[in-house]
Amino acid sequence: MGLSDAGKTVYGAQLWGLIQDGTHALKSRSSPDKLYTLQHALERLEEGKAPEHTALGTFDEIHLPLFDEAGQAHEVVWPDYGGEQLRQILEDRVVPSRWLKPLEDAERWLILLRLGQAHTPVSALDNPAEVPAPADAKDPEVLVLPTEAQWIELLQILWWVREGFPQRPARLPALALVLSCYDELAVQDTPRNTLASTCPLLPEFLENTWHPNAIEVFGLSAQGGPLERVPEADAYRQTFLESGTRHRGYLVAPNGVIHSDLTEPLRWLLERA
Amino acid sequence: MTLTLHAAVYGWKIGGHQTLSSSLPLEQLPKVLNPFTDRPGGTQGIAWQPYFAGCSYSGGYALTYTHPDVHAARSGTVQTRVLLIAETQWDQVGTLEALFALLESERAFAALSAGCHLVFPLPLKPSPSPFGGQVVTQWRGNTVPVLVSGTEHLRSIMSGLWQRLPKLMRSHLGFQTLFHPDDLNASTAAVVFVPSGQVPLWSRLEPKVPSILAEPTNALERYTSGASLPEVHAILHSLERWDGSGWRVLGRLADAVFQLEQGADLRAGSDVLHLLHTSLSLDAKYMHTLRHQAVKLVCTQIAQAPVSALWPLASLALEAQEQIKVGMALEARLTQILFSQSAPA
Repeated sequence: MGLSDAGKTVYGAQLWGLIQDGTHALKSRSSPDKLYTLQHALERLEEGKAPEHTALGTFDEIHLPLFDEAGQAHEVVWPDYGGEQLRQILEDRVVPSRWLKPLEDAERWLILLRLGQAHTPVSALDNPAEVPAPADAKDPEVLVLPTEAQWIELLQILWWVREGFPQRPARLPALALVLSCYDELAVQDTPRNTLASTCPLLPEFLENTWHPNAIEVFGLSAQGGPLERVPEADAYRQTFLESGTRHRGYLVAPNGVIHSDLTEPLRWLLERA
Repeated sequence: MTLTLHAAVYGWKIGGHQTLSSSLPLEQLPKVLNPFTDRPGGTQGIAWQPYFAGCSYSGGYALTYTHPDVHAARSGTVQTRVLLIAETQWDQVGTLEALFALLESERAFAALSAGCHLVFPLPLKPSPSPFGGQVVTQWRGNTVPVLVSGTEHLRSIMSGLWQRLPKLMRSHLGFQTLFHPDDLNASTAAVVFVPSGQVPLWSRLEPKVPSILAEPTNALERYTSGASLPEVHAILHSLERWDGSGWRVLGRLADAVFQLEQGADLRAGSDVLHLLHTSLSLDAKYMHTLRHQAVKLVCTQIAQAPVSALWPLASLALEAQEQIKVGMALEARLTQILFSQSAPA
């Protein structure tokens, strides 16, 4: 799950590319159905272009049949949808019927959170001069919820749909929280500490609700750098293409170690009982 | 004519597709518009083109025009221009043609940057569509959307339907341009246009995609396309206003009248009378008095007038804004036809 522009399609495409290559722990059992979206995104990446925005009305599931290192078969369901749908759920307090079954069926959740675009409120204690004047509060941008509050609210809505309010945290699905576009953040710390420094409320909430063994925080840069929107994108595109589009992405493990196996969050989830 | 419309533009900014500008406060924009403010779901990798859509919302009807946003920072994003026609203004909008043109014009939408609503003179004369009637014929016979192959007649068909359909039916007149058959599942549109280049993708639904190239063949098609006799049109139009929710009845009535015009047998006339009595419900308290007055008046005149003069009599009653009497006049006229048909030669 991820809000709009969180990098769901890029990660899905890179994952599928790596799985197809067979060079990592997870391997493909057979060709999945409805692969078109990921395949199209892969083709764009191979041209040095960022995958296209997923249309708001899209809602589909890509079933990825996989083997893990031990030869055990898994089926990963990769939902394909416009991230605006999650924002709509948040605003309307209504979960569309097409979301119900996937939410009920999912045994593990993977959430992509782009901290580089997180909305954080101005602190009245630290920067009182920057707090918007009351007149500015009519601006809808000012009234938007902080990102950490959005996710806490959203998670509670999704729990409620799944099994009522979380009275039994042990029943919550294992959760891999992936901080996407990690290259934007230019930090050296572990993903969990990075999250805590930007959105402190969110890790507090997660740690107090999930079982410690059922939650982990990763950092991810599926492309390794920007392919559009910023001046340095043109220069990076050359590097991206020359080194091979699947070799520039990297993952920051929970302990802060950086490596190229983007499948780690998925493997971690598959190992959860 | 001066018409005041509200407008909005949706497009990409950080956080996803959302409202970029609006002449209405954001909280007043109808949420049912949201699904229409991005590309259709199944267009990744498919060559798509700017497209129109329309849907009703509580208190009005919205027309949208979506086109690629080549200036947006993110790939694959679009802008959607939206015009909102408040229900109170529907009567002033005789045709949608001018609004389609307005939606396509970037300059016209520049007014949005000032955050004001649009006030403009419009040539709103109706322009009958030769094909709209066929859409209506299929629509009233189906519970699934009517699929129209090709978008070249979209404007004239939707304008024609807007012009001819009863006010209440306009709120069911949602339409979309869809590029991939999978998108049909999520669509609530009554009429779906499939661009010609995408029709092969719809091959499994091909038998349901009508080839809308023929001239109107029955009364309802003739009426909806503007091809019916002026007198027939006047009467049917009055009935629309009389009971707008009874449009299916209207269709059957139109068919029956057409059959009568063609000299059909007594059964068709009986059907019409039955419909008038049962489906186009008259308010009971007016029924008794007006029925006697109208029937007495019309029958008196009918008794003295040639058959060819009966339609203008009904139109005369329409002009007097006494719509129930129009119904009575029609009933009387049909009664007279029945008598003439049942009488010995």
